Amino acid sequence: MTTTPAPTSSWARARHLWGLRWRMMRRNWSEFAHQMRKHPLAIIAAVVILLYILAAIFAPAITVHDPTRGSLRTRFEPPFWMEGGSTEFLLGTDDQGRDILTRIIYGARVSLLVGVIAVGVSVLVGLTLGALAGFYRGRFDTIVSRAADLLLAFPFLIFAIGVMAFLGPGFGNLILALTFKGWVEFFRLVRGEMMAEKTKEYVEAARVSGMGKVAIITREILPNIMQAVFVLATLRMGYMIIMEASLSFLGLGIQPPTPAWGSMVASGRDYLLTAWWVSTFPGLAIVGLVLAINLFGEGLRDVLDPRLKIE
Amino acid sequence: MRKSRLALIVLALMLAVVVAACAQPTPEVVKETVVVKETVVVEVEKVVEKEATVVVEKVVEKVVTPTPEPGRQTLIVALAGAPVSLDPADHRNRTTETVIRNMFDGLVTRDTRSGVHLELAESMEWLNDTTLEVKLRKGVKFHDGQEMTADDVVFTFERIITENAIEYPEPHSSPRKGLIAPLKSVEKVDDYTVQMFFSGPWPVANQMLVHQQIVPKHYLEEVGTKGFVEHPIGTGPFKFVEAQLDDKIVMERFDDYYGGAPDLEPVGPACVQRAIFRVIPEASTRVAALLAGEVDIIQDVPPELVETLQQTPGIVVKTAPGTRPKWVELNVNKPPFDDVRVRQALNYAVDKDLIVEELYGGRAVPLPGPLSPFNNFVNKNLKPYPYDPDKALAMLAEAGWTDSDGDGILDKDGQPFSFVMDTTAPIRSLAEAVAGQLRDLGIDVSVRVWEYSVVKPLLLNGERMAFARDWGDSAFDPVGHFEAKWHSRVEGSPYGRGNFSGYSNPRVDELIKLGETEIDREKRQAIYDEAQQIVYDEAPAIFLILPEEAEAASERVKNWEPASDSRINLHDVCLE
Repeated sequence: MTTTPAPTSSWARARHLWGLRWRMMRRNWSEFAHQMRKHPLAIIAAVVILLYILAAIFAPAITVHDPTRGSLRTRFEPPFWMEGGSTEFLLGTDDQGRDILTRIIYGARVSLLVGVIAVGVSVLVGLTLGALAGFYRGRFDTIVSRAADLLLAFPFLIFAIGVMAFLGPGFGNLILALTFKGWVEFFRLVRGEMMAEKTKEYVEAARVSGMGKVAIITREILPNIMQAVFVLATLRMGYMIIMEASLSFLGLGIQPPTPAWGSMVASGRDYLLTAWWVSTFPGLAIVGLVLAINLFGEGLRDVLDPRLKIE
Repeated sequence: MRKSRLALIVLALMLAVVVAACAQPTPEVVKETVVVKETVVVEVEKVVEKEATVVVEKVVEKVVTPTPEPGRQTLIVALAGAPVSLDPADHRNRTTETVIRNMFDGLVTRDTRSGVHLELAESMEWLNDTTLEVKLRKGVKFHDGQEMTADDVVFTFERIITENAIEYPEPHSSPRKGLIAPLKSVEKVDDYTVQMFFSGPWPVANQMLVHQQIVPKHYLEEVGTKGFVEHPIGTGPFKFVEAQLDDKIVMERFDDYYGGAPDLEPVGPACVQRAIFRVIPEASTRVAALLAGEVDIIQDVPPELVETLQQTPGIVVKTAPGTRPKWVELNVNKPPFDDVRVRQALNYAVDKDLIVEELYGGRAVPLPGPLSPFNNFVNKNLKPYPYDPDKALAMLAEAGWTDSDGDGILDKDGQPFSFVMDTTAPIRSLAEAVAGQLRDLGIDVSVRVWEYSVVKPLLLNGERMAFARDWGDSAFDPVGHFEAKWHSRVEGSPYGRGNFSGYSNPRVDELIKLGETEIDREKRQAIYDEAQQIVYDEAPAIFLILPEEAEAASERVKNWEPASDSRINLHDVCLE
């Protein structure tokens, strides 16, 4: 019952605890799987997301063309089912004669990577600040909360455009621009949950039993609010992907020749009347992935965090 | 339950499309897909209600608005960009000039076949090497009915050459000063005669005076620049009605127009009652607007749409030789482009014929060097750098660039040959094509698209590596081109104002100065031949191509001709 147990006993305790957690997780998982079965749409969405992820990982293996090189001689080849199309370029080629399907598959890498990293960093920052602010309150909470309010006053896209215009395009800057404001929502969620959980009996019990504050936050409260964070993270993922596509569409995100869906849509804009496929397929790729992520996120929310469903 | 589930899917799909389209999604929006069926119905009802309101409003509007003229005597032109001002002295922009020259006339004008004709001037005569006497046409009226006299001409030119003569929005000098740099002073002789004094002989005076339009002295003195740009008054065939510069400019026929240049038929007031310039930056939107009959003439038809439009009944496409040569300027002060062999190699590495054929559908020509092949002083001995990738590789190897580690990218001293090619949105496709060809050679090139105003100062400071763009050449004379692009940069002067490669060669500078004042045509040709040869050999840029200017119009539009300088002269245009 000490705040910092001796190393030996701590090791044994940790093993015991993790064993417990593992058993609980397995029980939870089967419960979770059972619950998810009531949401077939979310399962389909999960499969779609998985397909996107697999395509992104195995892009070099499943494509035959180079995503950044084309020949001007094969400019604007139509998709295979149209007159003049061939199975060499299933979804046709763009203004540089590059295979659109190949570029979409490689583009999935950018979108997923940006989505995962931007959300990941946002969660990390938001969770840490939110937990500290919600638990300790005081001046730290006031300062961070006001900063968060300030950031919330800006529309995300306008804000991101401003940041990107200032920093210049590029992958790293893109992540920075997206997380610069992305953490706020996680901060607010965690802070609110933290304040609510803090007063509950199990926290009281932990405190009475002599647990340290850090331990209470990390071992007692956080596991209880992680589900809500996870649901929000999933939903924000779709949003971040849209943001990346929007910035790339505006020429502020990923730069050519690296394929990104947003810039692919933009580059086909001028040819909509003659080569509609250049913009359309990357656009559908965005819709498909974001829709799948959102549907999956919703199913997840219904199962993990039914409270959010109200209203 | 099933039904509501289906409705949800549909709603979610629609939402996703909306979300993807407008990029304004929030988790909150998505939450609403879980609301019960009743809410969905309410939403639908709301939409219907809204639509009904809109229809009612439209009907009311139509009843109230009287139709001023029978038939359709309004001509609508779609511009690719927005004008920056309506003050003829306060811009350096082609689109702006296109709009302004329908409301303002100059001493001289140029027709589509590039000849210069007298407009407000009745005669122009060189009294000696440096003095030009201009006799003005009598009875020319400004749009407010006042006659144009020598005072207005003197005022116009003094306003351009005097420092800080434009007081709005803050005092500054006219950006058009550089176009008439040798002009020292202007003096009134009598009401219809002025004399212009130049610092030296200026052989291209006629060509350059085309770009200056006469403004009314009395009006500007009365309302100031602010009042003038809000409601400009000129001597042109159309008078100003209203304008929102980034949207549309509305003009009406000036019935007291003196008729325009007497050499250029037809002479008299404009044909159409009303002319409107609309700004539609997106090329495909512009074409769609023409096809839908919303506009009558469109500027800047993208090359891949020329053929489609030609085959469309009711649409006429016309082209003119272009005046915007395109190239990739290379930063000659930074490695690897400080090595002339590398710069030449890059010129050999680009297949210009392929670009012309595939990217421009044959509607372009390769550049035979720094000047357009249509320039009056082009060096006839220069031929475009031929496409020869083997030679390019050999030259690069000579300069030390080989693929020594076998990764497909050339390297030297362990550094890969890698650079960013900057460009602006309108020629992204060309830049990417060039970059693609350089990548085939083993050079790691990526393309970055900028706003011109953002990247320009960086380029002038030599902070970037390569820049793909064009530079206008509408006077068909080397002056504007050479002094801007290939003269060493002289801060605060027109010399080197567009020199993005950092190129500087004292002999070229000297030749440019000589060419500006040489009157003898043959000597001038020799001067520019030498200058072109030097720039060609030193290759501070990858010389690319010169595309045609393509415009399209409905076939109801008569008497319309695209101009090389992309001017759209609406004076002659009629509607059937």
